[in-house]
Amino acid sequence: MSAVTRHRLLLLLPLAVFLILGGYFALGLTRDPSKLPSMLIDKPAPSFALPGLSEGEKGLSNADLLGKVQLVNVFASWCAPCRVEHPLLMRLAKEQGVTIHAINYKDKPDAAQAFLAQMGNPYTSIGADKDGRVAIDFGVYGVPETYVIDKQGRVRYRHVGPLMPFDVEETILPMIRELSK
Amino acid sequence: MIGFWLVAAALTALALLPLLRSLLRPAPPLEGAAAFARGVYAAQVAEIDRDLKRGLLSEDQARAARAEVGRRLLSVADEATVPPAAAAPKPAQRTALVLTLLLPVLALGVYLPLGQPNLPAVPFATRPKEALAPPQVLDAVAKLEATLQQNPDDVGGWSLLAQTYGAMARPADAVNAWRQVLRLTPEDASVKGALAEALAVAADGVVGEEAVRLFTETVAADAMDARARYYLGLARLQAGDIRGALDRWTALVADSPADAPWLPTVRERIHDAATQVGLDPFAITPSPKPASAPPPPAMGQARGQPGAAPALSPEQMQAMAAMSQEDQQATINSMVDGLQAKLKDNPGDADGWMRLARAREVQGNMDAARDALRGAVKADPKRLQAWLELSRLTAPDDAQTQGSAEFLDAMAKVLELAPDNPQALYYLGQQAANEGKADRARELWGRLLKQLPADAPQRPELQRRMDSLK
Repeated sequence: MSAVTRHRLLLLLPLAVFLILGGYFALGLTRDPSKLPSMLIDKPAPSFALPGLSEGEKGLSNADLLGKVQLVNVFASWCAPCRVEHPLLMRLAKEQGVTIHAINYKDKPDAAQAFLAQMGNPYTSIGADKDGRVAIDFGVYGVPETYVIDKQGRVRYRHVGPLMPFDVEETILPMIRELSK
Repeated sequence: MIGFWLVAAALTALALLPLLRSLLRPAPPLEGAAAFARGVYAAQVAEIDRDLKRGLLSEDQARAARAEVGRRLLSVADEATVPPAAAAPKPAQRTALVLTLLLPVLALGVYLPLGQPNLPAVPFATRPKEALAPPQVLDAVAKLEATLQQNPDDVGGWSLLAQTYGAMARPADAVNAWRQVLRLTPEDASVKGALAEALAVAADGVVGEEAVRLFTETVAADAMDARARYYLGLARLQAGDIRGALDRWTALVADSPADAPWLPTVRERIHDAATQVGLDPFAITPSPKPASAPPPPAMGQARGQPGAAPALSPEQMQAMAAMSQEDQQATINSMVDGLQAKLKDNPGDADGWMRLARAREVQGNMDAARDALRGAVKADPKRLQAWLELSRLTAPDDAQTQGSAEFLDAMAKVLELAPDNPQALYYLGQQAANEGKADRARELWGRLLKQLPADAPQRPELQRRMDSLK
C-alpha cells in the first residue's frame, strides 16, 4: 500500500468513528433508561458483616441471607422516600409474613432508632452501614433500595426507589411466592 | 481487590509505554545523517545535469554549481569521520528510569487519599436550620419555652406551644410539645389524636406505627373522631391495603353529617382510591351529597329511600373488587339501568334522577345524563342544583356563543332561584345583548360586575362589552 492511499484511508477515520458511535447510541435508544439492573442479579450477595444499631445488638451478615426467601431493604432515617414505603414494609412483615432485613445506610444510630420507634420496625435484623461500604458492594444507587434474596442467598431482584403498592402486588409478592416453592 | 490492583498496574504500564518508547529509542546514527546529505547532494548534481540539458544553465554555470556541491559534499564527509558525540542516549535513559518510578508513585499518592469509599460527603451547602418566622412570634415562642422550663407541668402552655410549632411548620418540635401535653393528660383522646397528627406531619404525611396506635386509641375512646378515622384509612392506603382504606373512609362518610367540613376531602380520597382499584367511586360512596340530602342526615339513611343510589355494602364491595374490570363495569351498568327503570315507575323522585345523572355522566353517556337531569327538574322545578347541572351539561363550548334555548332556559331558572349566580348573569346578559335589549343586558352585567373582584381578569372585557351596548 503506498503512502498516498494510506493517507486517503485515514480521511475515512472520522466517518468510521461516527458510524461506530452512532451504532452504540442507536442501540442505547432501544433500551429502557428507567431500568437499573443490578450487576449482582443471580449472583450471591456480597459477603459482609455489619454491626447492629447499638452496642450488643445483633447485626446483619450475608450468612443471615441463607435458607429462605427474604428481602434486604436499604434505608436511612434522613431519607424521605423511605418513610413513604415504610408502611408497606410494615404490612409485608407483620401481615404477610415476609422476612425483611435492613441495611441502615450512612445514618446515626439514634436517628435510626427514633425513626423505627415512630414508624414501626418491620426488620428481622438491621446492619448499621455507617460509611456506606457494604452499600457500595451491593451497588446501591440511592436509598431506598430493596433486594429479593433467594434461598441460596443469591440476589434475584433489585428495586430502586420507594416501593409502591403496585410494585409489591405485581412484582415482589409473586416473586417471593415463586422462589419459595 | 487483587484484580483491581492488577488492572491499575496494567493501565499504568500502558500509560508509560509510549513515553518510554520515545525516550529509549536510540538516537539516529550520525553516519545516517551524512549519508542522507550525500543523497541530497547527488540529487542536486542530477538536477544540475537536467537543467543543463534543458538549457536553463550554461556549461560554465553548471560547472561552477557542480564545484559548489562538491565542496559541500566534502565538508559533510569530513563531519562523518568525526567520532559521534558521547552525550546522546544516556540522559534519556535516566529520565525514563525516573519516570517509570515516579509516575506510579504519584498516581498512588493521588489515589490512596481520594480513592476510598468512606470519604465524607462534600455537599454544596448545608440547609438552613429552621424556617423563618416573624421576630415577634420567635420572641413569644422563646418566652413560652422559658416559662415551660420553669413550670413544666403547664398543660395549657405546652398545648399552645405545640399548636404554634405546628403553625410554624416545625413538626418535630410540635411532636415533642404534644408529647408533653399527653404526659400531663394521658387519658385525653383528642391530645392523642393531635400528637398522632403531628407525627404524621413530621413524617411527610406518612402515618407510622406510633401514629396508628395513637389514632386507634383515640377511636376507641371516641368512635366519632373523624380525624383519627380519616388517618387510619390513610394508613391502610399507605400500607398498600386500598380496600381497607376504602372500607374505613366509606364508613366515615356514612357516619358523618352531610355538612361536615371533612366530607369533601374524604370523598376526594375515596374517589382516588376507588379509581386505583377500578371501582366506581359514586357507587361505593354511601351517603348522598349535601345538596340533595336532608339537613340532619343519619347513618345509612340513603339506603332506605326509594330509588336510592346504588350503594354497596362492604360485602358487595369486596365481591366487586374480586371481579374483573369488565364484570365490574357490567355490574355497575346493570345497577344504573335498574335505577333508571325504578325512576320510570316513580318519576317524582328528584334525588333519584340526580343520582342517575351523576352515574350516567361517570359512564360518559352525556345524552342520558341530560335526560336524567330533565327528569330531575320536572320532578322538582325548585331544585337549584338540578338546574345548575343541566346548564353545565348544555353549556356552549365557549363563552362567546349564545348557547341553546334549553341552556338559556336553564340559566333563567338558575337566576330565578339564585339571583347572584355569575354564570347566569353573564349568559343571560349576553342573550339580552344579542336580542338588542341593551337595558336588560346592562342591568344583568352590571350586577355581575359588582360581584367580580377588582382584579378579576374578565373585568376589562366585560366592561368593554357593556360600553359597546347601544
